Amino acid sequence: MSDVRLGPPDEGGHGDAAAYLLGALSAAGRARFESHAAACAACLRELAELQPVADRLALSVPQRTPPPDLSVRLLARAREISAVLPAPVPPPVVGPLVAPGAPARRGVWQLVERASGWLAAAALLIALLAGGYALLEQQEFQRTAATAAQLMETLAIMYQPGMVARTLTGGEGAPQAKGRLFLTMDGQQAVLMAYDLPRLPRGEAYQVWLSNPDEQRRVSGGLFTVDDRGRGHAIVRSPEAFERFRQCGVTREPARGSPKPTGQRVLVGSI
Amino acid sequence: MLSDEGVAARRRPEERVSWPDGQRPVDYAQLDDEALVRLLALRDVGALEALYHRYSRPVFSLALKILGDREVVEEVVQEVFLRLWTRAYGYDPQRGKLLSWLLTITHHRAIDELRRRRSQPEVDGLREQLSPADEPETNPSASFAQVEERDAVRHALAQLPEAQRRPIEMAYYGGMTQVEIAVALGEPLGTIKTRMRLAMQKLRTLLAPFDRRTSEGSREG
Repeated sequence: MSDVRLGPPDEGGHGDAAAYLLGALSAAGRARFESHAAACAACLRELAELQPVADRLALSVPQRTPPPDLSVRLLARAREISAVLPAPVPPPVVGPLVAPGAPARRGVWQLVERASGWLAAAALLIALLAGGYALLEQQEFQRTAATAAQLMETLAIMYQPGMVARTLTGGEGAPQAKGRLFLTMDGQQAVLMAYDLPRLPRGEAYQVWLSNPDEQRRVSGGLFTVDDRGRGHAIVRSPEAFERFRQCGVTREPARGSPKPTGQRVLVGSI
Repeated sequence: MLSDEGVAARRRPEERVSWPDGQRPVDYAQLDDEALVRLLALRDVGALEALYHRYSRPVFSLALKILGDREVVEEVVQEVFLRLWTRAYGYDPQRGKLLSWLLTITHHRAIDELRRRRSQPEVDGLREQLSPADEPETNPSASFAQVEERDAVRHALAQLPEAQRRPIEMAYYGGMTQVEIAVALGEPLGTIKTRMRLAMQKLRTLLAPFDRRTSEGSREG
């Protein structure tokens, strides 16, 4: 028996389209092949030719009906995710379902129309509004870019292999509050989603704490605020793997955070 | 479309129609995949529900075949559709059918989970464990064409030489990598690669009549 384990991991290169479609590549080999095929016409052609075979293999298994409540759970989870994601941006495709024009721009033109009798004033007004609009647009773009970057990081954490969800319940400071913590036990970043927390005045924030009572250790996991409906989310960053901690809590603190908890707990749960 | 699964599902009369946020009624069942994906990008839960009803059966069935554990399978199915929900922008209809995209993601996710859960692949008795040949079609609503097509795939697999069929089954349904298969069968990696490639090409030839039939059926329908 030849021991191919001793050989080089010759995976994911040219000609591995069949192996790729059959799932016969390791995770690293799969990524390698995707990178290679993106620029290899021959491999792309072979993928296109053989994809129908892979589809038929998938569809040839006995068809089973998912449990009815699975769709309910899926849609609830989708709504949950949407609640903490930024407002949708129309996709970059042309079509009837893509909303044309932005309301702000229509407002500018309506203003210009009303001022049509005063040409000089209108010209000045247009210049001012155009400049202001460009600035607003730039700021909006920067906000969108920042939000998109945070969103990508959030999704990257939430969909990593081995992700688990922990339930947080309201503490003495907000008994009605609830939350969920999405993490991998050996990871150092998690996503916290919080609901029904009291709104905060300026100068205050919620602070996440990770603790291990056995070792009398406690570290801050970050700060977040909530919207008008008491919803908020945060990327929790831990200096060590989450498996080193046993509890997660949230307290109300000054906006810059505290070195140790000073306010009442609003959320608490086990890791 | 490689299967009439999607077409049949689209015409299913009992498919639910949602009215998002009190706006004008949208008959999602009448929308094609591309239109629904565009609605996903606008966070339309009704579109997700429609796509779930259209494709959850093949996604669930494939994951169940590979993993067996219903609880884990439900997690995988949720992940697949949530990935569609959150990354609708990433789906390019020019690069393939949505069902293919969903099945590929499902397959990758299921075998990743399978590999994570086991330390040593079981090779003995793999034929019985992996092949769908002996499992009866228990879905009473499956159309004759669907059952016939599934039978054809099983028949095509059976026509392959044992040396080509086993690597296909070990990889696709058993989640083994080509390196693991080479070790298990005591063959050089290059031989396994060649056999898998030849087997896929032969399956493509054997199943070509169904491609023609599907396309003709689509035109007629």
